[in-house]
Amino acid sequence: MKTYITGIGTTSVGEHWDKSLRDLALEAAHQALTDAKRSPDEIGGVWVGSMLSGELSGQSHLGAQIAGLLGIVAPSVRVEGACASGGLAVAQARNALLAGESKPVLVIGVEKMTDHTATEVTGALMQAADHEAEGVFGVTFPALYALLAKAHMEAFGTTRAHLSAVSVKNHANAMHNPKAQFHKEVSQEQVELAPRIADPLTLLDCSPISDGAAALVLEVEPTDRSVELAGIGIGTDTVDLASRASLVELAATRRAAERAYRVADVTPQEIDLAEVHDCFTIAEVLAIEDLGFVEKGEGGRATARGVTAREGRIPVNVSGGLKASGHPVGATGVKQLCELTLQLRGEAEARQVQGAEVALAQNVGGSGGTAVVSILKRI
Amino acid sequence: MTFVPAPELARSHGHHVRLEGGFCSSSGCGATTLPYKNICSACGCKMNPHVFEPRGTVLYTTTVVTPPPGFEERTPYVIGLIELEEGGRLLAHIVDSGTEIESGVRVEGVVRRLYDRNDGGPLHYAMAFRVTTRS
Ligand SMILES: [Zn+2]
Repeated sequence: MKTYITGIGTTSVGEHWDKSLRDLALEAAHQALTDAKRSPDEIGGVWVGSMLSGELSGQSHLGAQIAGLLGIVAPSVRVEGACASGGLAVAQARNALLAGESKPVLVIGVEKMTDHTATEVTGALMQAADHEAEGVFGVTFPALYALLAKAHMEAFGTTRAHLSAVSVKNHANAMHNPKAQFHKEVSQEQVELAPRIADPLTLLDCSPISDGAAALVLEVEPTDRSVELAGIGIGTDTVDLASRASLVELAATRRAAERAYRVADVTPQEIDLAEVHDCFTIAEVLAIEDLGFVEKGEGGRATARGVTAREGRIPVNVSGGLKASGHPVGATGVKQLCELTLQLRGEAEARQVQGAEVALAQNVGGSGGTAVVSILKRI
Repeated sequence: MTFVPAPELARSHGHHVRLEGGFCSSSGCGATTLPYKNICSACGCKMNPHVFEPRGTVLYTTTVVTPPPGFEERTPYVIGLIELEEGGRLLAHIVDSGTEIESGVRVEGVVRRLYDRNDGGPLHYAMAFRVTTRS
């Protein structure tokens, strides 16, 4: 059986002081339903991905809440897997179709983060770490990725300039994405002279605090503007970093990718473009290696050479990625698939990658405890 | 993160100030755990409780300047990934040693107060590490 993305919707990403969690979710959901030409009463199930709605908006029970506001009485479930909540929600919805659900299903990812101070958001995001081994001691997410960066630098000679190249590229790409959080190019010097967050990472190595939502409709029959959701793989690893066998890869990404490539029957060489989880610049370096686009250890050098640029061999994060288009955490995994659907439909306008046939999204939870890899094909 | 509640602090005290963990009981496995859990995730055998000697070497460190709630007063602070002499790794604060800490340097444990919550609640002590000065 095949599954298809028949409709997509995204809010712009940024600081939406005038919009609540529910406003954002409904805006994206209505767009996706309209795009799919479906009404709420045709929907067979709703999956809502969100990490922090309880902590930052005082709202749990999101499945029923959002479905009810949409006028949908079908089953509805909230899915949580830290920053991979959105990708996991898509995977669960697809599983429902594969298990025999014949009606269209709706996936929504949403996060509302900017009502709080950076300290409060930093504390909330630490819930994605292992509380007893990491969170309780004040080990922040930038700190965890900083340690991964140090390990990669020592093992492979990755440099500060290689990390900067990721940020420079993604900020340049976001200039062509009207819904991106930032429309401002940055230079290597600006990245390296920005305030330190957790050395070697500076502010411009880190994805921002964002509000936003994304939604999509999945169906078992294609329409004329559909894109095939050809495979999804979920990989896991220990949540705490100190228990990992290797610090120079995210094994969860590798495991998720192996499954996604097998289910979709494609190889890394056949991927025309990818949206990867660059929550920090080092994360994109790890991603392009663990997904098989470049050799292990070469991610930094390949980025600096332009291999992943919009005109490069394998364009990565043409949207601007999490770094520059924003990271509303529970929405990110859904937003990546909306972006790739636009690309495969040929509707990505100024950022269109010509002739794109096969695309990949990688969505990571925490420091790599969860990874979701999805593969889309033009039909 | 909010302040650690008193019951959790009491429950975690052995792990936080004494590195109470465990070794796998299977002779061929060698897996460690910190904090303690009763079953080995590598082989499924029982883990024997073990209090680790707080000595090891630094693998990597970073300096945190954007703290979560509760850690503002000690910011900036250094977090290190430490390999214990007896085996096993953990993340811990590195104190009294500056921020320029080279990989491979030896460290020893020293119990420190993580934060003062200033509201009469229990203080949170934990094993931190400092660069070893004696040979
Ligand atoms: Zn064992």
